[in-house]
Amino acid sequence: MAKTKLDRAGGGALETGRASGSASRRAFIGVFGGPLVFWQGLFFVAPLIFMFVMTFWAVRNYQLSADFTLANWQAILAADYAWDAYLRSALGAGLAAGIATVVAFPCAYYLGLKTTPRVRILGACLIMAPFFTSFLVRTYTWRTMLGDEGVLNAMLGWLGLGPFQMINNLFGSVVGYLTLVMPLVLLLQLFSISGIDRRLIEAAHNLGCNPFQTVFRVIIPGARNGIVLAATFAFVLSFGDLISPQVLGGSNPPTLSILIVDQVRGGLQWPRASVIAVMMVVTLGVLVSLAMAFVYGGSTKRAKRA
Amino acid sequence: MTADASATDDENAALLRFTNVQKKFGDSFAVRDFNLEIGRGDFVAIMGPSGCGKTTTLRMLAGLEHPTAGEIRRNGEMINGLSPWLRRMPLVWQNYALFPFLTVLENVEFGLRNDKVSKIDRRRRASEWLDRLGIGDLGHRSPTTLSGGQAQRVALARALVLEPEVLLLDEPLSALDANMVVRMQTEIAQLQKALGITFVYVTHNQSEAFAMANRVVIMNQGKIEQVGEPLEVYRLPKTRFVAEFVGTNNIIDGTIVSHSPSGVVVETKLGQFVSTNPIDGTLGEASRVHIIASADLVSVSQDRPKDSKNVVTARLIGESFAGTIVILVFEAAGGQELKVQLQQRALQDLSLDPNQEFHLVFEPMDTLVIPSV
Ligand SMILES: Nc1ncnc2c1ncn2[C@@H]1O[C@H](COP(=O)(O)OP(=O)(O)O)[C@@H](O)[C@H]1O
Ligand SMILES: [Mg+2]
Repeated sequence: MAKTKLDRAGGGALETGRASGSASRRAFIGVFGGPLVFWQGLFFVAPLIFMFVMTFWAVRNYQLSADFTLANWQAILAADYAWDAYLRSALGAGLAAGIATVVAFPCAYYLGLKTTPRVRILGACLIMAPFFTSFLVRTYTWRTMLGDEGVLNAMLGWLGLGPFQMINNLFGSVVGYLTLVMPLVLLLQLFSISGIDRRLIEAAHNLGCNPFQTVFRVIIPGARNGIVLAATFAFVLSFGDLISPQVLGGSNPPTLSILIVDQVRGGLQWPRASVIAVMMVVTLGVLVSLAMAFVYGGSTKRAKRA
Repeated sequence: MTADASATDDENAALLRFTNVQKKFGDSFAVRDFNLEIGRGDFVAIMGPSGCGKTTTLRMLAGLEHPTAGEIRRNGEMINGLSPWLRRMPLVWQNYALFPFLTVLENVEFGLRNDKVSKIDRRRRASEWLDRLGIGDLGHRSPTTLSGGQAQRVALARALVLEPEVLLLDEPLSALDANMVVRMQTEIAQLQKALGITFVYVTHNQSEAFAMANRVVIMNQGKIEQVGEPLEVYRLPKTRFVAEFVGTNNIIDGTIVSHSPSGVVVETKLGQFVSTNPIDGTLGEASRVHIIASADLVSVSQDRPKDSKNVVTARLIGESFAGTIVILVFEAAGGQELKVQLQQRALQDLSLDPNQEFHLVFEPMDTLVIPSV
């Protein structure tokens, strides 16, 4: 719904642009839009192209040299360890996205619908608070919490349980990913849930849905776009994260991001690292496109049906 | 015999009954001293200016607000605290509140999904209602693509598919254009007759209420001012507020001079008025009252009538035309404004010069006396 409004607003803006049809408007866009385009071109698109080109280069005597060889692609695509790492990264990121989505939802629901606007703003500030400390510091804190001799195991020990291995494995990595993405997921969900028209919720009650049924029949469909975008961002951030698998995941077996570092450290294999990086970029590109198609496609389909 | 009598009593018990219902938001009353009975099959229109508590009353019926005092009963059973999802009293919302993420058909099916109805049956019943309301071809559309009139029909179908005992409507026509309003009015009134369902219809538009309802409730500042059949409320307003709110009424302040079987005589600054209408029994001599005369029941003449009672001499200060109806505005002694509503044809006998003096005649049987509060 918010989406359609945006579309309409966008259409309106375009129309006024046409109506005034002025060069000054184009100049305005140029002045304010230009730097962003320039920035993205210089620091995102150009390196991406360069990275892609580099996948065809060779390394001779620890020296990078321009070339056109498929050897790097063959080496990586044929290596089991690369595919293992790929699946491990995808699994960790998928778990993080799924868990964050499910865990954040009740909190976002409560803050978004059951509190006064004032409490909601306070809640949003608290959600953002973790951004004020470095992520590295937060992951090291988790080490002391989750380590074999850590706080959690000590407490479980009093109950006669454990010790459990909670770091240097997938569990540790996922805890790290969740630490990274939870605030963002919570915020995106909060914004989309608090944007739901209250009358729709009352209409559902009026048509026989108790609050629990209303969650599944109105709130989740109503906040669908925000929930999907939040989960997508969670996956994207976790998939590329290096700190969690290093500090909490133990680096071994590696994820794709660790593999990239290894390739460079081990033999200055920039071209192979680039192959892995391209694989990651393509994966995320496909995923984000699918998510966008899901979110924005829904409303285009609707519009077409008209 | 006695058993029989009590059985009929039960059947005749009001479908809905408000007893001293009150709703406060913080320190202010949205609804107070609310007493009303609504019978089975009634078409009740709740009317009043914006902010007078109409929506709050309807929301209390739907269970979306709970009274802070008093009782609401349905079929004799108290429903004050009953959750909205257990009431089956669907509400047609002012802005429809259709679910934008569902198709039209899915919207109409929505309420049936909590019934134990098979999916096929659900579809069929929803489609039948869409057909019945003339929008059978819109089932697959998104509600965001509908016109106001179409959305209104979807909202009606979504509520009626539940086959409820009571349908609640909150200014359902307020977002439609004038032509559409008249059409939907007719449709809604016919639908209510055909279904025999009780309709509680909130509006701030009197022509809507008078066109459809068999009972109207006039509210002001959270209280009921008057309840009655439309014509009764229109012709016999009980309070100054109702007289001002419905129709076009002339209101003149006065004091009762005498009180006899042949009529009530009221002294006003425009002279004496006689009313042959019954008055509130508590009104004695010297009571302060208002004279109420509907603008369409006052006659205008250029020659002075013989009897001087119930005649006011006034100067024409304006006229406004609405189709074939003309409203003449006069000014009498002391700046008192008086309105006369005439058919366009009746004007041909009068020569209308501004500032000319006319004699306005108030028939005793068309003159009401109500207490001044
Ligand atoms: N949720 C609420 N919180 C506070 N005040 C409210 C609320 N709902 C309604 N009111 C107040 O109650 C009064 C009646 O409102 P409402 O029933 O919506 O009037 P109407 O439908 O006749 O226009 C208004 O003064 C309104 O401001
Ligand atoms: Mg209202």
